[in-house]
Amino acid sequence: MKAEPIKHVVIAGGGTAGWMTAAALARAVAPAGVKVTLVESEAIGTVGVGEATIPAIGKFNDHLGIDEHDFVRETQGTFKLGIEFVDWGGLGERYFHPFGRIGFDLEGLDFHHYWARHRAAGGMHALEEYSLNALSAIAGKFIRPEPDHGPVIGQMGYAFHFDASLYAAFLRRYSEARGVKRVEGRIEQVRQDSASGLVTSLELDGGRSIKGDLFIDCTGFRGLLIKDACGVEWVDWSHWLPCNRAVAIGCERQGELVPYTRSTAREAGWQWRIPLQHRNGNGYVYCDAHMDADRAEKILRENLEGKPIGTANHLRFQTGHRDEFWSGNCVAIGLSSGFLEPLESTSIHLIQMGITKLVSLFPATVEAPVERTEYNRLMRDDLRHIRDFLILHYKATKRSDAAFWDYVREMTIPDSLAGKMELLRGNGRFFKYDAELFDLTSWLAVAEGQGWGPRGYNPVANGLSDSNLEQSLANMRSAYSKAVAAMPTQQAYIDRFCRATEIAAS
Amino acid sequence: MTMRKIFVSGEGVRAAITGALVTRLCAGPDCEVHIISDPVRLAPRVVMRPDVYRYHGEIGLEPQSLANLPNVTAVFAVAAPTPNGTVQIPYAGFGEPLLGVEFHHLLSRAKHFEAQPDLQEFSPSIVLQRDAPNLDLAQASQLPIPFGIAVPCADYVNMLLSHAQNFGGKISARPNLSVDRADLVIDCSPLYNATGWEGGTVSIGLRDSLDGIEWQHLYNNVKRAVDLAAGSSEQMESQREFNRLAAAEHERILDFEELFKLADPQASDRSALRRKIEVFEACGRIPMEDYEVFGQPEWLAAFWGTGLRPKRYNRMADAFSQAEITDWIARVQRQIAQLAATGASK
Repeated sequence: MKAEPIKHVVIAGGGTAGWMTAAALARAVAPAGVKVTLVESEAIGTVGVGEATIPAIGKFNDHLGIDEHDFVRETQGTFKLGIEFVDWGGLGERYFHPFGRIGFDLEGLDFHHYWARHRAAGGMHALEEYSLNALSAIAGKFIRPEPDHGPVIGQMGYAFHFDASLYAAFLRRYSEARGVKRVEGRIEQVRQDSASGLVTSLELDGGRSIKGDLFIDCTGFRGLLIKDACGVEWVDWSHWLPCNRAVAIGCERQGELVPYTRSTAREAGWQWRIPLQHRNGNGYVYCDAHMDADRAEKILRENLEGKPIGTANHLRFQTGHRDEFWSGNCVAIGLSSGFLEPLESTSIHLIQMGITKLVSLFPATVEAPVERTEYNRLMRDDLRHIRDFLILHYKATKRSDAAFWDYVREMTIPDSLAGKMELLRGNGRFFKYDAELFDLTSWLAVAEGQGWGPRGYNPVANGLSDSNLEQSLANMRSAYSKAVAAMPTQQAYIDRFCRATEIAAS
Repeated sequence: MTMRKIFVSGEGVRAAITGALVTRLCAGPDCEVHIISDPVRLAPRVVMRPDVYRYHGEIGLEPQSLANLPNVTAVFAVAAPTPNGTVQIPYAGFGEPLLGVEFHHLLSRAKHFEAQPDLQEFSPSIVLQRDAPNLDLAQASQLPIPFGIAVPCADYVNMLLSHAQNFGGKISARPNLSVDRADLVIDCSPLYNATGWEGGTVSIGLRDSLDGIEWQHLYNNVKRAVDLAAGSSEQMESQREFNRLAAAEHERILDFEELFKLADPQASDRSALRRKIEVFEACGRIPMEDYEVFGQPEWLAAFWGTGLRPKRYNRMADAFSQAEITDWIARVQRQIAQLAATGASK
């Protein structure tokens, strides 16, 4: 069996992970003669990971050939220019993590060195005043940058908020139209070859059996294949990312449609607010060592901006990842493979990373040890980089109003992060790993926003005269202001190009 | 640390390249840059990879200045000697991908149904280097393909030192200066074959095992050194970071060199290289590490040239019909022939 060519891929589980995988395989390998089957049960609910994303999702949809406006329309989507963090650095503080660039580099040197020099000389303009994304977001504006928009609007980066269950349904239609077979059924047993341990079939209710060559575990936290059948252990990161519970609920949207996610730090974790066209998504991510579920729900409900919709959904999770993401002929994608909490909206991106790497390393035969080892190495590296960035948010806090914040402020952090934080705080130096997801803009925005920003700057920035620097910075601020003023509101943009059909908010 | 005096010392072309950059970035009323350039060791010419255009932009050198020098030629690919012959390493890729499927997978599949030329014939860089080896920069810049530069050392050194002087750099003679008086010494003496920062001295050195790589190593590390040397509070952290980055980059260069040294590259005990070879042989993909200097096309050329082949092509190549692939390959061949003819006619 080991040398058998891959003719049939079986995806266990629907939801966002399952249908994103199905759509990508339908596009990439189905035309090469590989059959794709997805097994899911309507009786089993999906977690619906994340409703917020990062800009890379655009590439995924592009690759599938999905029109962006169709996608937004079909998923009740909105545009996302970044994340507003409230009360993270300290109570009463706020900052914005933008997806686009901050400022323009001058004389070959990163912008923030000039900004830091200006600040050291008494300049009062915040970093956000040089971010088109941050300024547009706060003004509720949005425009999709096009090549002829010029360099200022060209700096804008964006992602989406969307209803994950509608996205899954959208991708289901896409996948089925391209030959993916959906089987409704409950998986009762995972059958494995007794000698090799390779998965041979999924046994469904009603005595049905789905045989395959390569199995994708998209069964969420249950990890029906990767954990229960293959026995792959979990690598626990909860000592660095201690939040392990979430309670989520929708609410009616009030006021202007804003193009950003808001993350508000609370007593034992943080609360998200994600604006969709038909409602707001809300949730409180917390650590159960510091708060019980009832109190978390009460705090969440007290902080909703509109009337609650439906009942609250309580979730348990553990941050970390599988020791192997690909074991034998089983690849775990989505929550079954790892979870880093949704603080920077990376849940859907982790699905995308897994899919992209799987397609790139798609095996020829059932047993593919080299491809498997490489896949596991790449996924581990990606997760470690993201983990460090998430820990930064907790570590770089001044909050001392609750035991949870005392713990995260004082915890020991990975050496890889400690070195990065020191360099950034010293003189704003940052060296990105090649495969690292978050770049200088992200690290700088969060570090500065939480009081861990550069104390000094690269003296090369002294090469510009005071008057030139003053003028350059003023020109940038002016250019950003004009660009924001000229943009439509996000609501106007959506109304014109991608307004969703009105549906019941629930 | 506050840099009030920086010394750049070393063999002629290295010191000039480094000195011009450090002067442009750091020299000013508060910071003196002294360049001690020893002309004795000048090699006949220096080859610089396509990043040289960024370098020239950073030092503020007008493109015309270089074009005015005699015997400056474009470099599209460089030769790497191996125990089994010479391998050409191109600066641009092979063929064109078709709907995301890399060209070499398409070619491998096409070989199943009819004979095809070797992959090298689908590299515009290699073909141009072979068929139009002496294009000047003005001619080369009309071609839609990246290229590096080969320039006579003596002329280039004189030009860079003169340029540095215009930006306030001081050209000094070694006996008149004591490096003890400097806040930072960047020593790019060829005596070194390792790069590192210790105390107040950043040493940058690499054997030029492949045309252009010494220049690239120098450029990357001078930039890092200047970037990290600034500041007042955490010099040890800066040094550690510089040494970490330099060492990581050097390892990637050594991986590449090793490939050409060994008759059997699979016998290498370098783990990252072994992994690259294993993955490439398994599925034709080339895993990249952090801080790679050589790009995917260069690694592909190196693997191919040393006789390594994937056991299979990417399954996605099966999504195309025989006719589609044949047409695509023919189209790429026509494009390259046209490019080569254009280059040769210059």
